[in-house]
Amino acid sequence: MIEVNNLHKSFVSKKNTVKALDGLSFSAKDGEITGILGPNGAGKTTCLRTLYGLLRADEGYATIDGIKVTEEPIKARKLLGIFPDKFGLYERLTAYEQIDYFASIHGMKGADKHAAIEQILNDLEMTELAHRKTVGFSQGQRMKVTLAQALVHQPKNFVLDEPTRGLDVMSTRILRNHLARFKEKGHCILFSSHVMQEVAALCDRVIIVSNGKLAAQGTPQELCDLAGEKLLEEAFVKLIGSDEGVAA
Amino acid sequence: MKITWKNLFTTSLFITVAGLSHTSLAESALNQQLTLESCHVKGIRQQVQCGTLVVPENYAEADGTKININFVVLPAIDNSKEKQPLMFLAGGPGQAAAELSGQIYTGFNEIRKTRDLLLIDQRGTGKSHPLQCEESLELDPYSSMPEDFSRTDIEQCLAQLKGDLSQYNSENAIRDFDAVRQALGHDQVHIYGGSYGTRAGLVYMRMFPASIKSVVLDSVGPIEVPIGLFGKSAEQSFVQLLNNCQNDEKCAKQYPNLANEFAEVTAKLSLAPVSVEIAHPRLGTDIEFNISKEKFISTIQMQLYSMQTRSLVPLLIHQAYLGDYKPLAGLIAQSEGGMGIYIGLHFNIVCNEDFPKITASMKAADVDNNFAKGMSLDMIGKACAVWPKYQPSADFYQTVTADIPTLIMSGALDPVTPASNGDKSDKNLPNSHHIISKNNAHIVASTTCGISIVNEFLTLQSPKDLDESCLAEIPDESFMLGLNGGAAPVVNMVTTPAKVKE
Amino acid sequence: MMQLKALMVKEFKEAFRDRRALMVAMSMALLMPVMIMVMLKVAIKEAVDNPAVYVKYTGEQHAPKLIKALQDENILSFADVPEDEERNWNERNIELTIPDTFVADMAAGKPIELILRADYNEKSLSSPIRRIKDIVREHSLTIGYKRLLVRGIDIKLLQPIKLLEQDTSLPSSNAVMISLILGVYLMMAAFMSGLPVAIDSSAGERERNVLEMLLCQPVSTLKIVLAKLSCASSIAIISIILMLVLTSVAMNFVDLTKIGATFSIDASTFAILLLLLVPICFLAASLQLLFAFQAKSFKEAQSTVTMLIMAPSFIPFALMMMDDKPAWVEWLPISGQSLLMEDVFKGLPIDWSALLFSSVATIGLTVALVLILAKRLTSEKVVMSLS
Repeated sequence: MIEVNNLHKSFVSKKNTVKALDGLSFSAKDGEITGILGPNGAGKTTCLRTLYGLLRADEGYATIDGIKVTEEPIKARKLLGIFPDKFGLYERLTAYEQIDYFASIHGMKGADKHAAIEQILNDLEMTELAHRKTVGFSQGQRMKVTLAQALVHQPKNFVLDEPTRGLDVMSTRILRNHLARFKEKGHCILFSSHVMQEVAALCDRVIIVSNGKLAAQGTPQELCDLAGEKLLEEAFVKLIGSDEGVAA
Repeated sequence: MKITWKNLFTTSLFITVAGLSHTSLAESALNQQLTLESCHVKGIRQQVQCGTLVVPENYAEADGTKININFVVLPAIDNSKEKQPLMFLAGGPGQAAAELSGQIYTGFNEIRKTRDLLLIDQRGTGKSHPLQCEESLELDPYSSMPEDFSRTDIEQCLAQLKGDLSQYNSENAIRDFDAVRQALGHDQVHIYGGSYGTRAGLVYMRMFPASIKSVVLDSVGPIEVPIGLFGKSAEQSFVQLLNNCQNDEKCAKQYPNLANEFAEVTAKLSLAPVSVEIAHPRLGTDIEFNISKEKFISTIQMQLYSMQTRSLVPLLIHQAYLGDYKPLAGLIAQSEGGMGIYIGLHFNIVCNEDFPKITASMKAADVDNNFAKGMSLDMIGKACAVWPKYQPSADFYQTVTADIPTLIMSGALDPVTPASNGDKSDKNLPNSHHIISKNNAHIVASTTCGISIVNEFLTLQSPKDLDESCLAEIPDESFMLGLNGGAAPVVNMVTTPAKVKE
Repeated sequence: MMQLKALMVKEFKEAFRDRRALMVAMSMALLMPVMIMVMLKVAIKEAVDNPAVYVKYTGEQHAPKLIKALQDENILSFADVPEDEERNWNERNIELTIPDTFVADMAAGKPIELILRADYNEKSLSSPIRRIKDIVREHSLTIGYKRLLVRGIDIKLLQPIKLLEQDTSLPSSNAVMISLILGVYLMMAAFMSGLPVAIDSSAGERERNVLEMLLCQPVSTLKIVLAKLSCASSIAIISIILMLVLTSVAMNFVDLTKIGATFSIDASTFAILLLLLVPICFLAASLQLLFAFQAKSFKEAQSTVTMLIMAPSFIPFALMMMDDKPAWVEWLPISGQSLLMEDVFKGLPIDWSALLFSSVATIGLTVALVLILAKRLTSEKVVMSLS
């Protein structure tokens, strides 16, 4: 369960002040996939970073399973699996070592850790990749490794920042399947995207963010109804009041 | 007058430098009495370290009179303190080590590259409470005779000396040396002793064996051979010179009757001293130059110490035979002003530690020679007759058998410390080796070869494994063959003029 | 603790698999002994003040003693030149002509004229020519002195004025220079060896987008910094150990006694040097990480941080130039260690209190830098620069 409450965040530089978040509130429930939709610069990444505790909100707060991120960032992060927007790999490590590394950071050890890694490798059908160094991995393979490291500790909550960007169809399918499976297990999944079809196909609920504010929320169908449009994309444009930054 | 008799005595001295030691009585309290600062000493352009250490005059009375012991440290060229320093024990007795800094600086350059050299003025010399007799009147050495000196001269000298003379002995000198060693923070030192410095070195080995890493004894004067018995050794050195001249084609041709000429001159002089008119060697004014047999022989004897001056001896004899004593005057001029011997200390040690040990039979054996007869002993005897007495400790005459790596060196042509002396010490010491350099007079380390052997020994510490091959390359004696003559044999060109000048 | 271990294991794995960075780190260690060897060879060549000179004599049979005097100073006859140098000396062509009248003129006391013929403009000949002139002059003087002496003249008359020189400069020698340079080099190695690894694990990771992921993990930034620090400094320490070992091995191939140097790295010197340098490695690594995290890109880190980090390693040079060292430099990081190293090379006893103090000061500074860096990594500025 992820809750965001009245987040405000401004970035002050010498030249100007940018208001990235302007009272954003929403929640992502367990057992649901929640999608954050918004044009570029709407504040999606800022919002998620606040969620990870990398950024501090000027006002408002975010909680993970009721734990305030600002107050207990380490405890909150333990409950979180993160798939960042720009994921890189330790290219001199093997996939297994990389996953092992993150598992250890999450405090797993010994046989449990080993089992968990084997489990996630099986789940993501990447056992063959496990003992290769990650340098030269394809985008899909990289995605799998990143996914595996984010999920190896079986986090209750799972946040993905534009995960399908640059993925081929097969990889996207694997990701989708995996997210669906997680949802069935009752995990809370939050992911940001600007790909309409994906959001429409996957999400139980959609949150539309624009100019740092919540523009609308609901199931894809609800949103279409709200805007009086058949396609989510049209609804989205209508709801944010412009067609700027919408990906086809 | 004084100058003359002092010069005479230098012929009977071990001329060289060396000697140090230390004192276990000097405890840490003494360390506070140490001063050490950068300074310049004569003959060295670079800065060196000068220091003094306050020690008791009498070690049995630590709270009694104090004296300053003066010393000079010649720092290693590489500035490292890694290797143990070499302590230089001066000769004499009566040479002041620190006054020899300039010579040691160049002569021991090879050793100084990586080691500090430690030069300590033995008590009674240099700036360590010197026992020197200042001349009451400057008599020139040309008109006066060495045998003129009298009891009064000695008494006048004694009147000038301050302090408890019985404390200015070899053992206390060694205590001073060891106190300096300790004050400078060295657990152990290497020692090099030359001439009387070997005596000091042997005493040091007996008194403080733990303070010594290794020892070089160059031209040995062991305790078993009292200083003053030079009759036989001087004769042998002189005979070798005559033989070497005869064995040298050119010299034999030039001076075919050298031995006879010497005999004739001495015979003539023993009848009556000769008097000739010469220009004063330094002032140029006309003077009477009086020559007695003693003066003639003692001057020759002084030339026997070094290879450079030996080369002049045939010419000196031959010219004298022809009635020309100017070469003699020129040589006497060189020793004018003394040999840097602190004569008070010299007599104080020789008259108490050595002279009483000379038995009538030893004396008789020594006088039985065809060169200087009993000349040295007679002179010493005159002084010792009036010199105040002290009793050296019983241990002093013990044979030294310390198990310390020891390199012994002798020159085969040495007029005062013959190779037989070195053999004695070699026999007594358990870890020693005796090197005899064939074409070498007094002090083997005065040659490049000698110093390189010393250096190798200090590095290897095994006296028997040294490379002595360079000794064979030292050329045979050669001689000046006329008043314009060829050059002297040149062992070390750079230092030759300096040596001649001194 | 387990987290820290995992972090460190990963850093080390990465560092040791990055052959390029590792090579750079170790290259200093490998170059050092080579450099020292080359320097020593040059120094020794210069220090041997009497290299052999070959002269073409004419009439050498007339003056055997002069020839011997020259030979004693390593000035030899061209007839004895070794084959490989023959061409060289033939070209240099130094000729010394001794007249046939030498013996007769000597006995007659007439001036003897020797001819020294060479290309005086040729630089390489200036030293041999000077040496020959000196020896001939000395030899001539010696004969002159003796001629006067046997005429009953006090030869001290020939030197009416004697100049006693007193040089107030501090003595220096090749050996001192070598140990100083070794000290500077060790200091630089401590400072530079960890640099590639430090930059790679900071600016590099950020550029490869793995840093953000790490910062999002439930682990304190202090642990992250410590892991990276220990890795970078370990590389530096390994590099120093390697350097010391190789240097002491290399020393065996050089005959130091020729230049009058005693230089050896024995076990205790080794231990003391390590003791001095290990804190420096930590300090260096912390500085490198701090600046590399600050840099905007990997490239910038490589250039500017390298420059910035070089600065402290020049402190020993600065110290060399300082004549009057204020007391406090003995206690400061870097300067303190470099002074102590100088002592070690000179063979002086170690001032343990200075060692302790400068080590503590260095470690203290390192701790402060680590804390600052850990704090900085939680700041938004760093996060904002991630993308």
